[in-house]
Amino acid sequence: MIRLDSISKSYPGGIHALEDVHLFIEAGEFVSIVGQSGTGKTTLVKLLIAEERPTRGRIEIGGWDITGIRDREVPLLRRQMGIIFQDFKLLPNKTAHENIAFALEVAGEQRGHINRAVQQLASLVGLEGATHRFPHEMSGGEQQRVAIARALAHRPKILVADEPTGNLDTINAQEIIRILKKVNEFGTTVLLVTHNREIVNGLKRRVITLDGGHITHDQKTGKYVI
Amino acid sequence: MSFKNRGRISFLTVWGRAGKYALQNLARNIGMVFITITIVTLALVSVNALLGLRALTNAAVTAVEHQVDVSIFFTTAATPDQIQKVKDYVYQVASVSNSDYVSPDQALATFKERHSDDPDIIKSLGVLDSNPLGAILVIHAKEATDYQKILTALSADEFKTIIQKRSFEDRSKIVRNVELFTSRAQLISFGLACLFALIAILIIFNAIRVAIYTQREEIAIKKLVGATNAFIRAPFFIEVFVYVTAAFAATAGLIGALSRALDPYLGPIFTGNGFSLYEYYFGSWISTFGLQYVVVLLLAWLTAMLAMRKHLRT
Repeated sequence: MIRLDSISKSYPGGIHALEDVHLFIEAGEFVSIVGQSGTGKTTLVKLLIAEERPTRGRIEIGGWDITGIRDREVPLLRRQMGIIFQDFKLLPNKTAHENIAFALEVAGEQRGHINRAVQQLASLVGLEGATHRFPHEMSGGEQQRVAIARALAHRPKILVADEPTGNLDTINAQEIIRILKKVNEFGTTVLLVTHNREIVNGLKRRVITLDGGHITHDQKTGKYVI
Repeated sequence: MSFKNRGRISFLTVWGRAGKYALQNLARNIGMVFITITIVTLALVSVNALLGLRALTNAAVTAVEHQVDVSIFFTTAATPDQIQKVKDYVYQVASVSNSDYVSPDQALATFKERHSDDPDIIKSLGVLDSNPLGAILVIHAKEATDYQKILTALSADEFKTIIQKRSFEDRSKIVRNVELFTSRAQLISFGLACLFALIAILIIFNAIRVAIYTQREEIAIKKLVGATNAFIRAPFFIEVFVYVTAAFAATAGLIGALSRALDPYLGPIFTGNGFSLYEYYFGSWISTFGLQYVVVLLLAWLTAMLAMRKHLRT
């Protein structure tokens, strides 16, 4: 599903965010990527969603070589990946329903299908009856659930979650992880980038540890080892 | 299905949904919309007020020019044929707007009327056997510069015996001043109109840039969920269209109301050439507001496109 061959990413000023990273993630895996700040986790996410291009190496997602992906092809890639962030990244002037629907509208889906899909997604993340509210009228946990519903709108094969629990209390964080596990059970590959030791240790799934731009550990059923 | 091969979205769907987003965004940011439209309206009103002032200056200069004329006082010996010859000659050398012939009898009647309260003058006239006044030819030139040509033409030797006096000498200074004022007023008003137009363009440019800057995070989010650049740009283009159209409607309303209110005061000043400020703006609105609207709209769209460009980078 995801293959990184000898990936390096450098920035001007001699900063090497990632160096010679090899990684293969199979379809349906739930992988946690851990590491201290500045170890290259966010750079890895940016490369996967084609926000940045690698300096060297090759990235393949779902059989598509996105190493030199053209700008106009990026929307096509992103419509097939779900992405969630620590700061939710919801459109502030749109209701929860409109935020979820937006992901389908940009793909040209029909209105009827969009309305049905939004209802199903809201139900999946436990937001029934709250979809008329704007982001500023919701708690952090609710906003993250809207973000997950939006990320799942395209029925993506891959869900990338960059510190999704970073702004949430323990209860809400556990709820978000429960939803991610449920999504993974449906067959979606989940990539969880996190600092949260408890969550990683509780998952008992594959853990990849980054340090200084290198993969230092890759454990099938791992723990947070830093 | 391969990851790469997913369908593209139709043009109609993009613009249909863009229209919905634009209207939603305008309705939900009504405060910002109001401020932007007000700024653009003020800029447009400033430019149009200056254009109106320029038209007013031109009309004033034309009115002053119409007040100037040259009167040729003929001797009593001048025959109607000789006077006609002078008239024909003047028409040849200058562009004459119109001329009035005053016969010796009319000149005498006017003189008597003017001095009716002065018994000494009336008594003196009675002493004379014949009419001491000759005919008068009053000439209005189309251009102020033509009076000098008329003056030169009348200096010819052949007319010296029949022309007693010309009034133009008394007014030549006024004419020179009018000429000077006309050229300078037109230059200054043109310069000011250009300056205000430039300021208006910068204000509009900035207002749109600020409006887009405030939405830069939304643009980034839309990109993250797979929106194409066209899908992101389209609502902005529609919003800009609404901003510009509303600002022009407000400008036309304000200018219309102001010019209607001013016209009754301007009427008595410009009697004769029938100048109306309202007529200037709305008599040929396509060449005034229509042209401005097209230019400003294209400019605003270009501004929006440039302002969005850096936010649309992947």
